[in-house]
Amino acid sequence: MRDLTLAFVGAGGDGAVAAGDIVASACASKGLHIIKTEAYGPQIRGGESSSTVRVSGEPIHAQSDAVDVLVVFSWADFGRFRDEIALADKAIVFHERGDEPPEAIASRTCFGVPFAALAREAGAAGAKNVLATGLVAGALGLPLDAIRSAIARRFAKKAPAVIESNLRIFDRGVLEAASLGPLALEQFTYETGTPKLLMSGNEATALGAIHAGCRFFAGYPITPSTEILQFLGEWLPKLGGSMLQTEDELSAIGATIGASFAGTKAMTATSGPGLSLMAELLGLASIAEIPTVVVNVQRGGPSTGLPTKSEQSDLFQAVYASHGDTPRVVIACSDVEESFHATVDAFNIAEEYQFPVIVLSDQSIAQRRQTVDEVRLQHEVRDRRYPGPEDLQDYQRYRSRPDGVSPMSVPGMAGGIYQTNGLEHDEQGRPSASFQVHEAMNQKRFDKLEAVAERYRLFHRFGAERPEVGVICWGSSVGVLHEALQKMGEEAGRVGVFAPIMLAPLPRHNMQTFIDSCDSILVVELSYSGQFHQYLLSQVDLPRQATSLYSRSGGKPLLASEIVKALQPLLVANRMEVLA
Amino acid sequence: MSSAPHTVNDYKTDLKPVWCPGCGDFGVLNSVYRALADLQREPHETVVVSGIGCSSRLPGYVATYGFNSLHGRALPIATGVKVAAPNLTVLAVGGDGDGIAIGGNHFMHAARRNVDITYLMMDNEIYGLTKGQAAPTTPSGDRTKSTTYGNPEQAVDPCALAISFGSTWVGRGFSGDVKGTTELMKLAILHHGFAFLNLISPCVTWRGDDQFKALRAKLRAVPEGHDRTDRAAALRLTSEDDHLTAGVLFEEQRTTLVEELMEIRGRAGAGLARPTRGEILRSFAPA
Repeated sequence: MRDLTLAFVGAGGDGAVAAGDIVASACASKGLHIIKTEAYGPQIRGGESSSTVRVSGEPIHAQSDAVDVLVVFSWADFGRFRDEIALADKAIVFHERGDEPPEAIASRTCFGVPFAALAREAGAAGAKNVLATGLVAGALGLPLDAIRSAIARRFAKKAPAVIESNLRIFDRGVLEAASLGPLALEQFTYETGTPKLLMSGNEATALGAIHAGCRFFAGYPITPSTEILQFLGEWLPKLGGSMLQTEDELSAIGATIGASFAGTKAMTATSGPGLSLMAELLGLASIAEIPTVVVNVQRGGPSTGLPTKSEQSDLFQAVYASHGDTPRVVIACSDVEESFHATVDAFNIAEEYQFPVIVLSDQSIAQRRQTVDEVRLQHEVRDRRYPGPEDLQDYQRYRSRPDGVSPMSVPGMAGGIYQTNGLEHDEQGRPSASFQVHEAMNQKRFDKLEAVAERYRLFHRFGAERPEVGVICWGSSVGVLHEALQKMGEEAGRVGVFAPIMLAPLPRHNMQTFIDSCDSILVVELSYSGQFHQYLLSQVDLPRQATSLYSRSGGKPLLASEIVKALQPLLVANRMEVLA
Repeated sequence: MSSAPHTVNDYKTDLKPVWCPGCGDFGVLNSVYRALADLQREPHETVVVSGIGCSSRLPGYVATYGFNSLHGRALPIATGVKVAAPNLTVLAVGGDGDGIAIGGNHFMHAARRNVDITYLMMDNEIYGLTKGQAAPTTPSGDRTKSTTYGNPEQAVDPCALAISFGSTWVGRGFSGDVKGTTELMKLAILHHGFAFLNLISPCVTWRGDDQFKALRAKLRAVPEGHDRTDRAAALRLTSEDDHLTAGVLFEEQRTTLVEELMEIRGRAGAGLARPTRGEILRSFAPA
């Protein structure tokens, strides 16, 4: 088999997550594609954990629907993840000998292995995760040398004896695999390639910010976005920048706006509850035309909701938050690599068009680790339009221009002095309650949005050229659509996908052309109330009789099999029409 | 541009203040002009940030860079400005409602961080812009538009808060005394760290002449012998019921936020060669 998913489950201290890390890191070094996820019990520290690694020689776009190989150190700990870990029909299960699997699992091929005892014999009982890694690697044909290197790297800071002991335990696991006899599951086969980087969506977002020239970040810790704050807190000072952990999200976006007003590329990151708090200041950035990048990593809502689970239900908030007619730009990312590009695009647009720009990610992208080709982390960087000597002759901060973008001076610039305002203001920035001024300034700000829509038509389009069924989705659903089409084989030739990257302003023209080329439309999203569908109704003409919606609450990743199932009746219906 | 000395008029915009005749904020504005001129601060290297309220209109009247932002949010924005551009002179200005009610949390943290800015709070003990409701500074029992039967809440003393929050310079002035306020403002601007200046700025419209007279009657100078580095003494001085003590109440030297951030850059290795893209990406390389 060329596409394998492993899961390790255990109690805190069993090393389930470390085992996944070792396999993932080793396979990435061989140029294989990896998507790795983790899940934890509610305990702040310790407690049960699970780690799932999907490895493939071909590009992969989402977690797989089912696990092929499961390692369980304790069934009691497995119980917590039972709803989250589906086993493939041919799955094989390795568990601690003597701790017998529950009935539902026992029908699979199960092997009771004395993990702890074997690890103890080979050196240290605590290294049973390393032993299990050897067992799985030996049994499935994973790259043993790369895993040995990964183990050595993992313990590089420890004494040489520790490394040797762990390698011995790993080899003991490999040896144990030989005693299992032939398995029902095929061996994993692959071609090696250029080593890949392995990073989380949050890390890719932070890298995108650094690449774009961000040198100020302010934020308040909130799951599942906190890694962005932590990463930038480590790297911005090295780059001559600053990270400020603020007292709340109001202060986070306030300081971001202040730093940007003072001429530094600045960003904040949060999740739904934080974006709710930021709403008023988003409006300030919009009316005062201050470049402001806000990353929102979605989780289940409303209120505190499901802090550690993914959902696509902050769409309305991203597109509409803040009172008044408040133009802003919203960009979605659909995987780890795109988190980098979406963030650079966000800075480019924020800086060049003086907008607040929201990057919408979600927990499933932000906290999974995925392989990325280093050469793909390149992206053109654009900068703010500063006033030239001519503009400074008689500088007016908000002087109208054909595209609405007025050159922006920064404090320190002689001749560029202005007083800006969250009040409606005239071209000089002076407060005004005049209807004419308000109308003209609204138009100026919305002209900029038109200019962005004209220049940035960001979307994914894949699948059939002339589809019978056209799927429209966004964000983390996009990867699942890729997977679903691959699962469908020949049937996939009848399905096409359109997924906007830019959600506001939507690439409406391109989307409408797509819609008009399809016999029927399926909208897919992880939002109970179908926010994306409702939004599309206001933006494009969906065929009234031929549009259906597949939407449900988040909390559980969207599966490719769900999409395939949702598509079936539409494909059958179309076929029947053809027959008729 | 910087060769000829700046006069008071160089700091004035052509915008006419929206304030009522007799408003205390006129006095504060005049002090701002004079303090900036006396200190010869370059207008283009000065930023005045405010929130919302009568007094928060002030940046529009000062010919420096200015930002009249949102209710309660002057301090976060001013913090961002100062961290991004530490060489600028940054003033945050606003009212008591703006800074203590809706923006109270930021007051604590800007003070605690010792952001090197000057925070001028024009304190009129009332919500003026919304036409006369009780503020956190309105004395208990007072009748206002929102306290028909008398204010049921206890008033708070902004200076006591500022001292407790960790401000490194705390003073009080009276808008009716432009000369004295100008001198205090200059000290506040020159102070290295977070300087809080509470400016008693009576509201003739919603609090009437009586408030002005009562406040002026309570005013007195900082008594001789007050040790302004003594936090407890400063708190005692500002908490006296019978007096409103004007002058410098408290002062200490502490590392500022920007200094701390610069120190962190040093510890992180900035100043040596900046990390290249390759070095940053290496932390994600499995091999």
